[in-house]
Amino acid sequence: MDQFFNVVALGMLLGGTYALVSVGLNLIFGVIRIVNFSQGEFLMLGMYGAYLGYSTMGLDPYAGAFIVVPALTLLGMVVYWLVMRPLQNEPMMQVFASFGLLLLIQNVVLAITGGVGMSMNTPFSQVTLTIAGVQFSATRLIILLAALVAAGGLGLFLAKTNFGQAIRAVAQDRMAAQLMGINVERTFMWSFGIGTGLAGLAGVLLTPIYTLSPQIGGNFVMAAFAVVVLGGLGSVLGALVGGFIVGLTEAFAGYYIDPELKHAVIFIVFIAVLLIKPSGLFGQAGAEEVGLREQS
Amino acid sequence: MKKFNGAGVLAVLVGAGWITVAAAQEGTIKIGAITPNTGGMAVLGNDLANWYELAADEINAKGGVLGKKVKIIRGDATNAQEAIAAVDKLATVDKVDIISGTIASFISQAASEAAVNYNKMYWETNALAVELTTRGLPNFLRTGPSAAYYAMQAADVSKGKVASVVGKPVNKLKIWVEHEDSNYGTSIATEVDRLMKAEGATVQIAGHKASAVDLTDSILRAQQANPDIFIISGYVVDTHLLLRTMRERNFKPAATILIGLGDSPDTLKAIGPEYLQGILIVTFPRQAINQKYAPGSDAVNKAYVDKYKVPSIGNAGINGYVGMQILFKAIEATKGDMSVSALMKAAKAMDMPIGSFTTGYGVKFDENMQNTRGQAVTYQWQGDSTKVVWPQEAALDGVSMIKLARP
Amino acid sequence: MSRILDVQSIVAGYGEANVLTNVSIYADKAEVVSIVGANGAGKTTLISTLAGVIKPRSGEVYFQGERITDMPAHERPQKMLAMVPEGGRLFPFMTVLENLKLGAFPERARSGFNQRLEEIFDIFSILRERRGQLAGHLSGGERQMCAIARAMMSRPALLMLDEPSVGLSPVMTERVFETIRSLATRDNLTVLLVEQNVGEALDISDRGYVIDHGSIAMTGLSSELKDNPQVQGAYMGL
Ligand SMILES: Nc1ncnc2c1ncn2[C@@H]1O[C@H](COP(=O)(O)OP(=O)(O)OP(=O)(O)O)[C@@H](O)[C@H]1O
Ligand SMILES: [Mg+2]
Repeated sequence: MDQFFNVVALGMLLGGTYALVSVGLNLIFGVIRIVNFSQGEFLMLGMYGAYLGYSTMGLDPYAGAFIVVPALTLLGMVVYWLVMRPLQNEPMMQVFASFGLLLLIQNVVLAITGGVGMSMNTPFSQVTLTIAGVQFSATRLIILLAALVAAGGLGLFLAKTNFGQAIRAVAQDRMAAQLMGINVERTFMWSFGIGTGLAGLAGVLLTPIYTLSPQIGGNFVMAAFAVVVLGGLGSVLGALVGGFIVGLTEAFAGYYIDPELKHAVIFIVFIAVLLIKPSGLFGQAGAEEVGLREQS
Repeated sequence: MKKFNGAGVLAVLVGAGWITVAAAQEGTIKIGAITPNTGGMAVLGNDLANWYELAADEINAKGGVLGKKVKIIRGDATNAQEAIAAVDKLATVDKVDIISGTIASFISQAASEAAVNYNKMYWETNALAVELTTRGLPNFLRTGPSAAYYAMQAADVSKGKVASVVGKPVNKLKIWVEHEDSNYGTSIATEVDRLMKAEGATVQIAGHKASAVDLTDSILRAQQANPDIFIISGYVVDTHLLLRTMRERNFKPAATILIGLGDSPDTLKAIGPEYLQGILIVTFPRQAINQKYAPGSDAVNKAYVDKYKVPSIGNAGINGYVGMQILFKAIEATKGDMSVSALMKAAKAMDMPIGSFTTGYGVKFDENMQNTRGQAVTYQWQGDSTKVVWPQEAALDGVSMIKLARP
Repeated sequence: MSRILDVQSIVAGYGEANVLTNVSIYADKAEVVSIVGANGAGKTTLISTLAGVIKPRSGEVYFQGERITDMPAHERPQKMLAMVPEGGRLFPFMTVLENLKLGAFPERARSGFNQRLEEIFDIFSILRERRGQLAGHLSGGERQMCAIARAMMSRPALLMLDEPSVGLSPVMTERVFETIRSLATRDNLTVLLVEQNVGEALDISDRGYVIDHGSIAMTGLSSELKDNPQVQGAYMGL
């Protein structure tokens, strides 16, 4: 019992990590209907970007975010324009292309780094806060806050701004959006960029915790795919709530059952949710139909 | 211009081996080295191949093996398919006599099976998986330790030294082995479990995924059990994450032992010297080792730096260097017969005491052709470097295990 | 009378095949022009080409004197050209109000939004009541009305509609057609109305085109076409 609240805190912090990693993935899927397999690699690039700033300029990763996140947004936009856009009438090819990107980015980073594990050891990464006997790691707490701010900010942006409305319109019916005067390709490009930028943000904030390897993105993205399906494809709130469900499940199953079985338990929860609500917790029923409707 | 072209063609011919091969074929022993020279293990793979070449250089400087020069030919392989292709090429194009390697067990497995087809000896120096020698492959032996020897060393240091430093009899020790849940980590954990239970210690083993995003649950459970010795058998990423989480959760077991890794500059950078103080590492012998136990290891480490201008990065390369030297001895014993049967017979007959080589190894193969005298040793972080602390005779004079509990 | 739309010898299609072989039509200011024809004749292909969703393979399109043949679809609403696609294609997970806001997405239509909204609500009073409701939950007739209202939010000079009567009851069809007619009169709006409901379409339009297998088979004043025995036989079941 004495560990109960520690485990809750752990699950919430982990949930924040998963939510932050999932938000961008879900935006890209919701708007462009591309399952972006290379999302984890953009996260990994965010980590290496933060590391590069830290090791060459002594830049704190949190300051580095102000360079790395815009850079990865831009990179995502360029990748969309040069790789995804020419394939826009062949959705399957876009999925393959994103898989190709995954291999390409991993191997380029592998070739540059030679596979040496890189880590930073900032004083801040060692700080833990203890509140009423419950421990919070400061780096994870920042990720949780970032997840809340990113999801909230993105939700507001989509609901309140003209451009956000345009993104939602494109997500729901790209042909009708075009007839409203919305530049669909530009919207896709920005959505992809915002999605990869969010992956980069997650990467930067995770850097102080992990030893970097070119394959590390996959560790996060596997969970993110579960989060996205659980929370509802295309739903920002779903990514947030899905993240917390997976995080809490993992923490409880890991501590009270067995760390080796936690992924199995997550899978059971995952199946149970989909049996009760096939579109995910916050997915709009029929949303997948809208997405798959012949869009010209 | 025309003149230079002629010279150019000649140079190309020489470079391609047209001329040299014809001239030197009789006098060369060609050894194919299967190592990953690209991809994520490239640093380790290149390091191992470098050490093979250093061993060849040294023997060639002394007139070669039975008067023949030794040549190492590199074959790049990062996965099983590439391993098979590399063996094909080494056997048919380069016409090597013997194949050697490897950094990774799955590459070794595929490459050695492919070598059977060409009737070539597979002289393994470095891959760790126990199963490699229990397959009964007719052309395979291993000169270095297997993962089981890591477990043996961990058990040996626990009962031989750590127990007394902790201040408990061996049968009162509580041990927690935290392992990544693939075959590698699991096999070491179960072996430590078996060996220490036989000593009467209380052992608990627990698995985790090497790719886990968070390992706090594992640490909380271990913390709850309050072990005297906390043993981690994992890969780099998860081992670092465990150490960071231990620090974060203020988990201070009386002794911590890392298996197979954790003595590199990477780890120093990731965790920092303060927290690493006193942490033990079971690994291949290489530096900061007593020259009476490992004769000539200082000199050969220096020779490596002289040749390659950088210090050796891997912890396994010198183990390959010694494996190569054992091979040269075997070839001498067969009088140059490079067939599988002759080499296996010669290897089987070898009997050299511990301390015969620069890693402290001796040679005596068991019925599975696993060298039983290729021992791992235990290092300890002291200041910002690691020093051998076990076995006792391997430690430098004046070095002993420091207080284990960390701040 | 000023020419709003002038389409010259358009060829268009999908993949290898041409659907429209050689189509020329025009529309003048405040005119309601209907385009009728059988299933698969090429009506949707024609107005999709005019909306820029499909690129013509040859021919020219002029709108208010400007050549817009190659203009991307999303730039056309800014030029006061609007289209209501078949079925309305509302954004189903947005409210009626959000749909109307998107109708005013072109830069030109953003100023005076509130005033325009009031005008639209005056014409489509049902939408005022339903403003907060998700568009996906509207009835068929409401949906069609909302789609027309959304297109009208951009204050177009030319409104193109693809079969607005599809799936509606006769009463509802009549209400939609009346609304279209009154919009044209009230705002001096030019309307291009694609319909299979030939009788009604000709009733509310000034002129008409009969399209058959991708080319214009007949044209004339709506009243003349309506009395033409060939049209009656082929399209009006008489
Ligand atoms: N996306 C498409 N790809 C290929 N062929 C198409 C496509 N859309 C329509 N067609 C073909 O083009 C021809 C004309 O179709 P179109 O939709 O323009 O006809 P329509 O007159 O609007 O018919 P309806 O009254 O049924 O709506 C048809 O033969 C149709 O099969
Ligand atoms: Mg049609």
